Amino acid sequence: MAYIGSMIPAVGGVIVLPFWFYELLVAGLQAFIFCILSLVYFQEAVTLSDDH
Amino acid sequence: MNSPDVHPVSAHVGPHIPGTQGEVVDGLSVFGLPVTTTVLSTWMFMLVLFAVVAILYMAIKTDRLPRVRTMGLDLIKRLDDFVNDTIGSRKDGRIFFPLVAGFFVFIFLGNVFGLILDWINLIVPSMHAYFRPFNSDLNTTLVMAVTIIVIAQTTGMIRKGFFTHWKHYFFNFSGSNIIEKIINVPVGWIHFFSEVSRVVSLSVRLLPISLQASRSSR
Repeated sequence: MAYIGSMIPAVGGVIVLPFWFYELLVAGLQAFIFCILSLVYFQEAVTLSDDH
Repeated sequence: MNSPDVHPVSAHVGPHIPGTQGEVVDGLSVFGLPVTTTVLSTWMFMLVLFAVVAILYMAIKTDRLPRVRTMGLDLIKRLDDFVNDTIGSRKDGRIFFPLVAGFFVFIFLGNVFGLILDWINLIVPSMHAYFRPFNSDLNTTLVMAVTIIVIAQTTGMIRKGFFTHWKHYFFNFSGSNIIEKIINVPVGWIHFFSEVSRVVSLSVRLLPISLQASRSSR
C-alpha cells in the first residue's frame, strides 16, 4: 500500500486510503483466524479422546 | 562482456523488502540494549491500547459513555459466543476467553495501528527510522505462537495427565489390532512434529499484512 502511494508524488497518501479500508478487513480476518486456530488447539488439549 | 564498473553497487529496484526483525534506532538504548523500530512501535501501541482499555472499562463500569459501553459489551458478548461455540463448552470457554479475546484485540488493533504507522511513514518518510509495524517483526508473532502452543500443551498435561499426554505422541499404541497399533506409533511422532509446525504456521501467518505494510520505498 505504502509502496504504491510512494510512487505517486504529492497525492499518493490520499490515493491509498481506500485500500487502507480493505487492509482493515484483512486485519480483522487475520485476528479471527489466529484466534479460531488457537481455540481449536485448546479444544484438542481439553478433549480426552486418543483418536487422530 | 559486462564490465564490473557498470554496476558498482547492486541496486535494488522496486519496493524495499524489510527484514524479519526491526532496524535498530540510532542513539536509543535501554540498559545498554539497542531498541529497534518494532520495539519502539510496540511501546507506543501499548500506550494506545491501555488508553483504549481504560476508556472501555470506565464506560462499562460508570455509564458515562453509553454508546462506548454498548459497543464494548457487544464486542465482549460476540467474542464470548465465538469462544464458547468454537471450544464447545461454556466452562472451558470461560477459562480461555481472556487469553483468546486478548489476542484478538491485540492482533486486530495492532494491525490497524501498523496501517496507521505505515500511512504516517508515507506522509513523513523520516519516521521510517523510528517506527515500523510491530507485527512485521518475527519475534512478536513467534512469541504469540509459542504462547498458544505452550498453553495448549500445559492444558493437555493438566487435563489428561503428564504421561497420558506424552504417551499420545511417543508411545501411541492405541488401536484394535496389531496393525493399527504399529501404524499409530509413527502417527503419534508425526503428530508431535505437527506441534512444531503449528508454531511456524501461526507465527508466519501473522507476518504478511505487516510485511506488506512496511514494504515501502525509502
